[in-house]
Amino acid sequence: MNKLPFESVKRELVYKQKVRLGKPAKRTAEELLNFGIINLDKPRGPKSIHCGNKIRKLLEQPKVGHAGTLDSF
Amino acid sequence: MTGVLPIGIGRGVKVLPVISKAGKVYEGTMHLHGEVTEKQVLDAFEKFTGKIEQLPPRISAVARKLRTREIYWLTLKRYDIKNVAFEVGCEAGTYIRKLCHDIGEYLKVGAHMASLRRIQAGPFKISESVTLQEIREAYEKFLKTKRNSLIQDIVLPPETAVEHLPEVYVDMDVIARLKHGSPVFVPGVIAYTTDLQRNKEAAIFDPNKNLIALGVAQLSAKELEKAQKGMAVKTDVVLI
Repeated sequence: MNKLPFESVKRELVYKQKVRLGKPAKRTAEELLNFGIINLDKPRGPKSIHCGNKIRKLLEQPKVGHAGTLDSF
Repeated sequence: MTGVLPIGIGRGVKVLPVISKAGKVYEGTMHLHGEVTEKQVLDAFEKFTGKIEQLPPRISAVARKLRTREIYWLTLKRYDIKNVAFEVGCEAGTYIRKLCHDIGEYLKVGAHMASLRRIQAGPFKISESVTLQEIREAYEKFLKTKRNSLIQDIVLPPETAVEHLPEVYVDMDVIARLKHGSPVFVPGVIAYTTDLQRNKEAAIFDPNKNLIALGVAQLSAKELEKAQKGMAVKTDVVLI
C-alpha cells in the first residue's frame, strides 16, 4: 500500500505539562456550517469554482472556497 | 477532472491553504502517440519516480520557471499498448498533465493525459467523499427535520483538515493572546507531537483538542523537549 509521507511517519504525543487533554465536543450542524470542511467528490463538468458556488447557494453560507483546483488547462 | 475537492465553509476556508500544500494521489490514464512495450513503460515510470523537474504550463498561476517536485510513487495499473492507466502519489503542485507529456517525450513517441481523478488530497480520501447530490439531499432533509446528524455526515469539523500536520496543544491562558496573533511561547505548551519540525507548519489546539490556529514551528520536537522558554510556534492563521 503506497502512502503519502505524512501517513508513514510514526509520531507520539509528548507532554510538557501535567495537564489532561480533553476531547472536542461533537459539533452541531450550525457550528459545522459556520466552520467546516466538505470532502467533495467533484463530478466532471462544473469547474472547481462553480462547485464552490453551488455549495454556497445550497447551504446558504456566504463564505465558501475550495482547495486545489481540478480544472483542465 | 474529477475527485477529491476539499471545500471550506465559513471559517473553514482559512484552513484550505494547508490542504493545498499537502501531498496528492491521482488515478489517471495516458494515451501514448506510438507503440511502446510494457517494460518500456515500467522503465519510464521508474525514471520519473523521486525528484523530477517540471516547467509549469503556459496557463498557470505560477511563474514559468523550472521547479523540482517529488513523485512519491508512480505505478502502472493497466497497460494496453497505447493506453496506460496509472496511480501517482506526489508533492503538492505537481502537474500530472506535464508529467504525462514528459514521459511521452522520454519514451520518444509522445503522450498526453487522457483522464485524471484525484483520490486523495492531504488527509482527505475519495472513499470518504460526498457528492453534490448527497449534500443537497442532506441539507433539504435538515431544513425539515433539524437533525444535526444529517449535517454531521456531510460537513467535517476543521480538525480533519490538519490530521497530516504536527500538533501543538496550548493552555487556556495562551488562547486570549493567540487571538491577537501572539506567538506560542514554550511555557504555554501543554503537549506536542514528535513530528514537529522547525520552520514547518503546525496545527495549534486548545486543551480540549479544538483547532484554534495554524502556525509555523520555531523549534523541532527535540528542541522543544529541552526548551524552557522562547518562541515555540509563530502564529500564522487564527481560527477562533
